[in-house]
Amino acid sequence: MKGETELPHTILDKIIQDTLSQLKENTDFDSKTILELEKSFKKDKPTPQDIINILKGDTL
Amino acid sequence: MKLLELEIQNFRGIKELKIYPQGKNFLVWGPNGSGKSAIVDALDFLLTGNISRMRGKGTKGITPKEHAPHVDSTVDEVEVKALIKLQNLKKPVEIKRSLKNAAKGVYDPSLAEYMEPVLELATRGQHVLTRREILNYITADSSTRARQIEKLLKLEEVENTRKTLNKTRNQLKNEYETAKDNLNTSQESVKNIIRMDNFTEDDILDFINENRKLLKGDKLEFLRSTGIKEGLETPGTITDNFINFDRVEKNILNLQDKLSTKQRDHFYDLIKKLEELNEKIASNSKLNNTIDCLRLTKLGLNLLDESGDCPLCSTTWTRDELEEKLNNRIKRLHYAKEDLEKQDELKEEILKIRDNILISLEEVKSAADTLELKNLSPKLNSLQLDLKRVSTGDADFNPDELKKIFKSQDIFNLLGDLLKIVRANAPDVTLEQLAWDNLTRLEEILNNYYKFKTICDSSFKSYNKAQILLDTFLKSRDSIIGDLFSQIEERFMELYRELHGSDESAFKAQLKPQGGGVEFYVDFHGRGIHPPHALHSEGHQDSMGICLYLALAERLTEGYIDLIILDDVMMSVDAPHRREICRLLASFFKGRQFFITTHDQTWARQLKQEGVVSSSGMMELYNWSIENGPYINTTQDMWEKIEEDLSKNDVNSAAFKLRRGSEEFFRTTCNLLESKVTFKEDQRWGLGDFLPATLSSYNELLKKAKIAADSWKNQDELMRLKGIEDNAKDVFRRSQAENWAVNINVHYNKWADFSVEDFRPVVKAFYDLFCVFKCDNCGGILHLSKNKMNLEAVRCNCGAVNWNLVKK
Repeated sequence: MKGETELPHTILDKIIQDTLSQLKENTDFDSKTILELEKSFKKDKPTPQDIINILKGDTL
Repeated sequence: MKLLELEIQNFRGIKELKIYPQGKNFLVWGPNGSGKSAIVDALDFLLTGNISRMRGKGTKGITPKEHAPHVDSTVDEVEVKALIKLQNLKKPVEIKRSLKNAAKGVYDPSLAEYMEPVLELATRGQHVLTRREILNYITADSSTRARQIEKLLKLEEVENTRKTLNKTRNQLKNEYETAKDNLNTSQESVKNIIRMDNFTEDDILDFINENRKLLKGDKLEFLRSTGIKEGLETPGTITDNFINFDRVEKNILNLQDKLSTKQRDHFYDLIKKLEELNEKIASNSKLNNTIDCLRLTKLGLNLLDESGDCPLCSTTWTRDELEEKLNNRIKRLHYAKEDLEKQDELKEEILKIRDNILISLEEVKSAADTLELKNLSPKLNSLQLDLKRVSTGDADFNPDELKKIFKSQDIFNLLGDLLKIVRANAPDVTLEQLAWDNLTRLEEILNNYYKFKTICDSSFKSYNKAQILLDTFLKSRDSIIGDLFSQIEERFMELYRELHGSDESAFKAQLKPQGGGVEFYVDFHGRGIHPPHALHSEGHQDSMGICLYLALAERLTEGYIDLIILDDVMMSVDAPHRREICRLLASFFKGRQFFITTHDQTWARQLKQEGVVSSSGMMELYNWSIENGPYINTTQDMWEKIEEDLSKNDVNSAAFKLRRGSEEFFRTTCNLLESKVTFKEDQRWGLGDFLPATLSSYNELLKKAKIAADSWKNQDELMRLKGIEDNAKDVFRRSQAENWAVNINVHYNKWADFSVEDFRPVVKAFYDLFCVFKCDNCGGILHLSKNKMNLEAVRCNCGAVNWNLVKK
């Protein structure tokens, strides 16, 4: 069985993973913002306000 | 995960039932209403805590708590239990779930890390296919199909995330637009101070240096928001109530100009035109509706985003399709277009004049406040508020109100009075003092300007990030889902060609995400690409549904759930293609466990003949009653039944079973080996027709296999085939020696006159004869495999038997 200790990846997991990995190459995004976004998507379904706070740097 | 045992108590139509699939394919068959689907529901309930059949469209008023228990049982008495095998765990795991505590599956908590992924995946429902869902895969429109596939792929959460990111982007865009408006307003204020029509840093710097020069200061080399009075000395006493008479006068004059008879008439004229146009529109209900419709359609077109969802009702469209539809609608409503555009132009012009007045009014009001003109200040305040209330929003805009404000306030006279008061009360000021005030006011406005610029820059950065995040997400989504669909499309074509290779060997399909839908087209015998339900028969559509589901389920459950449930999915597929489906299940999905239900006895028999299920993996349900649930027949094996008859000394029954079973078996071997059976118009073929034909085919094919092995100089294969031949000869000889099967004159009806001792050798001879045509490994019957018209091999479904017939 793949990844015994974690839940199987959904299509969304894969898309988020790929999105964040592409953002790492984008100079508009710093590593802290990407980390916060990653945490937010892993934790639960973020609301638009959660993401706005991250993009504005209010959570950093 | 594979299912080893399943125990059901007081669930739906079942009082008590235990089955033992032992991780192998399992078949439950029986007539409608015999309890097959209750077993599938129980399995669904065990793995997910829900019963999908009791959810969704058409299930209003049906709840598991009320309707899942057996009709004579209570909620407390319902329990489903199973023993399952996980891939990386040697020891089987027991899991049970009661209806009383449906949300919690009970299992050894130390195994949570193994169980949770499996149960999580089960909630996605990717391992169950029902007849109803097949229709949604094939005959549905693109958005229904999309929803079905989305449900299976759990794409709705992808869509929800897209919506969240879209909302994020829109909200940040609005913030940026507001910041930009504030910045523009502060720019206008700067322009008002420097009395220039353009906002350029050079003009501002020139203005600053002109005023600094009056104050005998040095020139500044570059523009800044603070310290523009740096190095300057205050020109005399500048009090808090200092009024820049020059600027106030200019603004009063500007207001008077804007509100002069000529300009006011122009303004009134605009309002009148707008009123007339509004009246024209309001008096013609058709035109009124058309204008509303046109405005809404244009707004819809502007709001259309990447998903293609209708911004008004969220109906799923492909983006291009909706865009085209909206554009066509706008074209159809062209006769109202001119009026709508004129209405917008007039409103825009009116508001532009209003905004210009507001800026000057702000400066004038400030002077009135400083002078503490208690009679005037409230009036100016009121005017300012009234003007501001004439919002830019269409819904709030009221030309009558605006016109009333101008007429009632007698603004022109009011400004004249104010000018007199200002001139009378304003202290004598020097040019230096005016220069100092200009710089002070400019510094204040520039501070605002730079503050708004910082906010604007920062909000643009956030908006830009949100846009990049959304774009990147969409790019990743399209790439990942595109790749996934491409792989599923490949596998779907492979599976379908395997089923229908004889008539559609060049079959092609296109499965592509398209906006909010999924486009699905299939090739029809090389005559072009069409929707799947356009030209293909219902049977072919069913095959497509099964193949598409299998291609999807295989990919989605891989590594976690090996169990695939096919709940009564065969309806329109004809017998030959059902056999092909059997082969598909047996040979393309070897690591999987299929749990199949059907009401169709032919399909049940084919599944056994093709080795998909063994005798021990079959269970027949019949004679269902409320009190007892279904009767169960698990002894499907003909030889066990015959032995049971013989042990009761009932040769008659044993002979009947052997006769019927042999006829059925050799009819199948004739079909699978393409044996030549003499045609009979009455179609009443019997064992005397089938057996010689199938023996002849077998010998002929074995001979061809030996010739082929010899041509390849494959001595090992040749020897192996000779061994098979010797065994077959022996078995055939014994059958011949007993002289029962092939001699039509000694027909099998005579068997009934035999004693048990006489009959046992017959049974043994026929048992051995059956074995010659079956694979020792999978139990499936051998079949002839062809490449178009050319004989290719004799095979079984598991691949253990494979006689090559192609010569070097």
